[in-house]
Amino acid sequence: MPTLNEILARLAIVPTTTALLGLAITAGLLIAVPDWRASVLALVAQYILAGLLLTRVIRPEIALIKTLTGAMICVTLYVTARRVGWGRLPLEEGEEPPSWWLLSLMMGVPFRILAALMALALAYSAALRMPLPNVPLEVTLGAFTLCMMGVFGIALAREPLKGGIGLLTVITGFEMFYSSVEQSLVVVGFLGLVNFMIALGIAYLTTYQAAPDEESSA
Amino acid sequence: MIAGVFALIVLPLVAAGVVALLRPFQALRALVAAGVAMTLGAGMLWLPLDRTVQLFGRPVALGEPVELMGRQLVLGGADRTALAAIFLVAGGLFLIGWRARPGPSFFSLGLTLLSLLSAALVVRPFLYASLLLTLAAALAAILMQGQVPGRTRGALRYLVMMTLSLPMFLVAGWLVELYALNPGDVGMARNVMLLLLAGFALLLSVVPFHIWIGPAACESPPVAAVFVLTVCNSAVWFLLLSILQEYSWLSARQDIFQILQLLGFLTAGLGGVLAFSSYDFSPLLAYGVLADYGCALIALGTRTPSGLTAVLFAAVARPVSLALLALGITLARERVRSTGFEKLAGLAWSRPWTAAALIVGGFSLAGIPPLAGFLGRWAEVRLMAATQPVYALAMLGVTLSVAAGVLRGTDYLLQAPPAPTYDSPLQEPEAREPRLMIAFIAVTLLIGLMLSLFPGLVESPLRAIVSSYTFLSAYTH
Repeated sequence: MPTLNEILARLAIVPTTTALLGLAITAGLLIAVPDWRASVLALVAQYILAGLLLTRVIRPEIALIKTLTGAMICVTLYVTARRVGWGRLPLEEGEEPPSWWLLSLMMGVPFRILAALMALALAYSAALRMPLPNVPLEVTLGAFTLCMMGVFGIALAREPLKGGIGLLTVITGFEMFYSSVEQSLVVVGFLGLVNFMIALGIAYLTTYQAAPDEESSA
Repeated sequence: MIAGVFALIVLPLVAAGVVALLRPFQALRALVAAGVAMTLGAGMLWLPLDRTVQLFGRPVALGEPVELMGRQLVLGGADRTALAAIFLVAGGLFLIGWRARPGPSFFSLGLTLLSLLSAALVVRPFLYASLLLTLAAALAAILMQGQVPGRTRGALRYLVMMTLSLPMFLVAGWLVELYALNPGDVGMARNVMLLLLAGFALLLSVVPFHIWIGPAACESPPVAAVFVLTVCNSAVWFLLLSILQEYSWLSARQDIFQILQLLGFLTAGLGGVLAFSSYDFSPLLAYGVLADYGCALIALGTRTPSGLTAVLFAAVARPVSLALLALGITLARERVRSTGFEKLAGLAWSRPWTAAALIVGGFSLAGIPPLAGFLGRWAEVRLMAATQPVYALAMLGVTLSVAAGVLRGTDYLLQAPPAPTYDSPLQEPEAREPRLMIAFIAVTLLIGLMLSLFPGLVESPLRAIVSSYTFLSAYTH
């Protein structure tokens, strides 16, 4: 049975370009796709890819801890979103759901795709003009991409779950840079706790958002 | 021996657990939470910092520094008075929460917040404080959510703003360490300043990061909103002062104070305009407090002991004004499910205490004499008139704008009550205002009156705090 270090060494051969492309796609999905299942899956993939990129600047064990924390956050968000039935279409009984392309138009997906592309272009431009100290260019690119996409995600969010996922994306992007300059285990632990508390806050707000509004139902 | 710092952090946490177990007993929860907070607040004020005392047979050293995982927890003279004020205000709000429907987790989360805020104020270096403040913000977002199901805009925005400040502080903390190795690097010092300013702008809800205050005031239980606007905000203020005190090269920069003044001017101006255009007491509370924050930043920007004294006077008066408004808003929401001026028309005749709380609280927040808020506003205006008259005029304008908003609300409250119509001859008689709430309003009014008539009561502890910040004397106009 391979050891943890062997597994990490095998994963580390994932080409940087592939990991970066994956990060851009997952972060873009978080902005563009309104479906909660896709969002949570994209967030899981994002944590894994960010962890892989992080192995280039920090100890693999710490990168793994960060990825596992992210996975736990995703479980929390998944359970919350599933429980409140978030994103379910408000259809009458027997009513046919609209076709997927009509639904995409109604949800503003084309605009969101454009916004994601714009965020990506801004991130790429910023990474080339302002390379971060202490980290290689690919980590700078990854960090800027996640931060920019996260900010766009927050700005476009109408619900706590999407806004919260955007916030977690920003923090992940920031951690890609910060982990290389501050490797104290206390800080790593605190950052994990902060991420988890943010996820709990988002879970609570998502549940509360789904509760019926007495005023509007009255 | 018990280190006082540990007691500050651990006792509220233990009490939070106890209070969570007492869930069905609202009165008991309020009394336990208020008792613990007020006892700790009083202890902070009266226990000596420099020697060990016996408490319940155990030696307690309040000023004993503690090392935890390589990080230092130190309670300084200024932190001690700051924490005392924070605990006492929180205690008062817990007491009000007994009857003011503060949300299901107000007491336990409030106590946990007190623990985190205490830790944030005593931990060194400040990057841990920012991590603790972010943890506190996540809990505060939950605390604020509890009045209107289906609406989470204010809490979500609050969480986003507070969390976005974290990267600024963490990078600033890293740069501060680098700067210590290379003190001649002017560019690095400027970057630290800009990062800290951005972080504090987010934490202090300076324009344009104020966007959570309005929705939070409308959606949250009023007492919970006031808890965040006073207790959490005060902790941020004292963190700012602590950083300025600790890094003399930072506080020696004139531009940091000029930028703070400019941000304060914008915040106060926008707060005044938005309060002036409000037709609802909830947004009025939000924008009134925004204007108050702005005025305080302008005063701090003078970098003088008088400026900081004015800031602290305002910080003492703010909880009184906001608590009154919160009590009034709670009662108004219970009665008419709204705080809109039109819905409250004529309310003063049937519910005089509710109206009194709304009117006096509003005018006090505006800074109108002889109410508590005048204490801070007068000190701020007098200081600015002597140093930067333009800012003094701006402050007066802001005061009048907020007061005009309250005056409009007062006009509605004092309108003649609607006459009974023949269509509804069997109307239910008006329920009386709850006696407990009347008692809370009366006591808060009394405290406000005492503060405004006898400012000397708080002057000496405030002057003691100011004298411990030596960075203020480094610059004179």
